[in-house]
Amino acid sequence: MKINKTVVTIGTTILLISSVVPAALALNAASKESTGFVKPTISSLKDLDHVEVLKSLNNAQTVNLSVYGDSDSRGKQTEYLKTLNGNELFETLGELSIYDEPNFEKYAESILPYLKKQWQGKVPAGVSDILTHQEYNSKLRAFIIDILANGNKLDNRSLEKIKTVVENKSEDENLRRYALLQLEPQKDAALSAEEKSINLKAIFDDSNESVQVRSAAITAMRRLNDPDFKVVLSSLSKSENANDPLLRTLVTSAAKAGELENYTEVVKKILNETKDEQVFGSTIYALGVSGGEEAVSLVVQHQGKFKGNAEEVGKYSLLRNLNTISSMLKSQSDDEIITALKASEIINYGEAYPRIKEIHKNSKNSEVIKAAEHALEAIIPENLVDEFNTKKWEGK
Amino acid sequence: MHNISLLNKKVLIAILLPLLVLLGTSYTHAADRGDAGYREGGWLTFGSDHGGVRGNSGVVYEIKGYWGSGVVLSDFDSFKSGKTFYGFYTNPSITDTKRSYIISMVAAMSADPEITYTAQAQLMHDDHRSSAYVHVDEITDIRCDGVIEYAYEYNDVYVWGPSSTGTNSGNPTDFDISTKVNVQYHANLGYDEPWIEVSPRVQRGAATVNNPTRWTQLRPRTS
Repeated sequence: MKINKTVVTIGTTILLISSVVPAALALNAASKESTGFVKPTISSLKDLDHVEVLKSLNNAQTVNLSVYGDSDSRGKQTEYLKTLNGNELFETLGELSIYDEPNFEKYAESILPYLKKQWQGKVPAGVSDILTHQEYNSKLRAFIIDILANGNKLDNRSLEKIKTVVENKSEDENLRRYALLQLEPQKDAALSAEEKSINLKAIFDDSNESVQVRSAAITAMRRLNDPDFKVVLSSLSKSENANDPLLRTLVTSAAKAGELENYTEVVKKILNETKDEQVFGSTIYALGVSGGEEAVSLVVQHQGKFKGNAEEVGKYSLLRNLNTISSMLKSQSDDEIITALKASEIINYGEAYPRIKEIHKNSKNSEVIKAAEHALEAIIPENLVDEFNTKKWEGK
Repeated sequence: MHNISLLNKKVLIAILLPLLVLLGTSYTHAADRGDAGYREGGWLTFGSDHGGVRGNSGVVYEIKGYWGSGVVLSDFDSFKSGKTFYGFYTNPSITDTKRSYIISMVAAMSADPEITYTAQAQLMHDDHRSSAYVHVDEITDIRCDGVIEYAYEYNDVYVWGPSSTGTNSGNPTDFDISTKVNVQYHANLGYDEPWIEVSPRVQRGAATVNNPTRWTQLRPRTS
């Protein structure tokens, strides 16, 4: 059934609702019996048959502004989707990737539950073949990578296709980035070998590649324990541009791999020199992940360089180091105590209030006393970071 | 006669204009930082909606999709994106302290360039830490409702949990998605059976079942 969208007017909308939709539902009910995945042709997607039906139902909406409410059209559209078989649902997704690409993910989320039911929890053979066909919308292909990789449905054939996407420099760089970020260690030896055959370092080394693709290559190298990962990290020391967006992934990956401590001087340089708020925020975040007294000290020292979101990242990085801050409050070093007092103030660390009172009472150092006074004024004793004693913030 | 008519028009404009301005300015949504905001998904209105967390100064933290750098800050208009906005919601037990930590959590997510989008589940993570809890640096993929669920529940403010019996006769349980063993119970996308399926639409209590708010701890902000 094909509907020419140019003739869809108010009159035809009525016609669609009154006649075409029931016919479509009947047709679809009959076609439910079809089995096996049939790759939709590009022309069948461009026809937008399913989209036209959904649009006709959309136009018939009765808006309900209740905060919990559901418009009548939504229910009708959902009922229509429930009548479609797996091939038709996939075709609908393909059409939506053309019709409304910016919102594709929202449609994918809505259709996926029905698609999973129709596919009985599997991804049919042949779906992954679409990955390397650039005439299909890139977001539709990202969706296929998503259901394969995150649904634990990877096999040799599909991983081979993902590898092709990653290595093809004429491919959409958004899709290549997404494919790289879906690479993770595989238990199956053959899959693992296929993944490890991707030359990730070559992607990183190629300065003609986009920042997003090179960044994703770093992440993939870390996740796959690539032997060249540390070589790539060492490029941090050679970085002369503190605003380079590539630094975001380099410092984050270094922290997650427990390597950031080896680049403290680079981190200090970034924090002092960068004018890029995102680079700054990721560096502060990496310090929180890396942890330790020096990390806490650097976060406290640079808190407020950028306002707003970066300050919130700073709070998070200190919260991730509650144990360190607690032990610094008991330090013999006045400098460490002052840093910990400032950190406690930033995160409103209620649990530390009694200890800070002790410091205020017993310290002989005027700077410590002043910092303690400041903290006591700012911290609300009842403000407990770990109200239910779950010790989540203390976990490493 | 003509002058009277003109005068009437002027009077009418003088009365109506301030009223219109007043109506325009008063059409704001009750909200605080840390509230979860929801809007319809796309131009076709079927589906599971879209959500984000309100940050300081009215910005919204959201993950938009497959492209771009994971969790991002958007101004409210960009988040709304011309779609029907359903309002801000929160768990009424939330405190100002929790709101503050929730914002720090989503800010940390926005600082991590390695987090990307998935439609599959609210959250996916690796296990490079031995902790029983998922930390931000372990998150690999997240959905928009996962951003809300994780930031709230890490801070022990519950949003959604599956039914204790797997049916609509059970009670919500296993809320905390930041507990690694609970992540699997938050991987069932949908809105037809909100006792076992979750989505932004289920979070805001709009699943098309009887008593949908039974399956979410969030309630609309009315003041």
